[in-house]
Amino acid sequence: MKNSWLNLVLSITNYIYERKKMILGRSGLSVVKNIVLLIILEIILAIVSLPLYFTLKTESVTAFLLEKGTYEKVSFDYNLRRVLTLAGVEIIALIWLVKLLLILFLPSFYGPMNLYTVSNLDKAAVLSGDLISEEIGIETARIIDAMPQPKIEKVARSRTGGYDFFGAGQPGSTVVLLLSDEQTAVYTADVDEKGYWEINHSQANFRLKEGNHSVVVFSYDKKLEVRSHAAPEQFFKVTADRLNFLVKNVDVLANWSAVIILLLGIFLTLLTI
Amino acid sequence: MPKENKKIILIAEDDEILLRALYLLLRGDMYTIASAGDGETALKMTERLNPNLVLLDLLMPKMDGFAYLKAVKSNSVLKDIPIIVLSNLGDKEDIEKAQNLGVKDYFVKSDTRLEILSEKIKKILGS
Repeated sequence: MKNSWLNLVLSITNYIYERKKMILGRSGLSVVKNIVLLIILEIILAIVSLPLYFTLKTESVTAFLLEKGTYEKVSFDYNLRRVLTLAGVEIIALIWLVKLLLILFLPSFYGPMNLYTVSNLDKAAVLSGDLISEEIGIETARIIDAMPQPKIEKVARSRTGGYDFFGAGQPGSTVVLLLSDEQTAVYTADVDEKGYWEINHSQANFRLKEGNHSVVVFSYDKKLEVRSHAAPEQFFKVTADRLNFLVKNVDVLANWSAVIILLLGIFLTLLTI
Repeated sequence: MPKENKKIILIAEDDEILLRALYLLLRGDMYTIASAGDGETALKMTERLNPNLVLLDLLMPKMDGFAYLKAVKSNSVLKDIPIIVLSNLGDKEDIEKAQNLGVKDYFVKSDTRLEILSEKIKKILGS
């Protein structure tokens, strides 16, 4: 396995050498084509040879010196230009790999991969203010003073990165929870026989931005079309975790890494003129 | 194996990736690997280390492999060090030129399997 991999590294370096030889003394469009191919090959080589940079450090080796009869450190040479180029390519490759993995495996954080566009929306899963009345009729619901208000007892971050709301209310009643951002998310939950309810908000459905958000709850009876007064407005803070930070910055990193490598490439090219 | 008995292989190769690949291929308990990225450094290290074997690339900066070979073979202390060439140069004239300068074996990179090279090195070093 190791030998096959090392032979592959050798084969790619040879192929690059042969391609470089082909360009020498030539001009025109075919050279451009060959240079593009060379860049692609260098990137492939950088990725294939990446483990060499993990397994072997550019280090000193200890050798026995006959003339002195002692051991001494002997430097392990390296080519700075190649290392810089490789490092740059690898940084870009890694950033884009992270980005791809985020898109594939964490759509709830990164957003789904846009493979299609939606031209017509019949009904949204998460409702805007206009749709609230259609769905649960709270605008037309009569407010009953005597109807007990539910309350929010706890807001917790869920394992999937969303938020879980826990509270108490009249057993058997329905609780409506309004969660505000640019739009308002509306959730309903039935209060159990012990008088507790739970609502889970997923960031995949409706992404709350960082900062403070208000949350309001009230009880609602659909049959009688009545509701309670809203409980006092409460606030909770949405903060970015490390993953969110990575998601937010991966694009910026990818773009800046491309710019830096481009500048580095120009600089190294100028050095060789 | 005690350090005193470890044989020294000097790799003279200017391609960092290939240098690392060869280092990974040969390192272990049997050998101490030293390396040089150009011909001048390779010659200095040969004089200093008196390695048991040199793996030599012919196209290197500062001093090419042929100049290195001439310098080593004209040195009475170093002339018996076995040298294996591993080069991109595959023309008959280049191979003959290197053989006339006393190389032990000649491998063209594009036709070489590393395990064969490794076996050859082991055979020469008697390990």
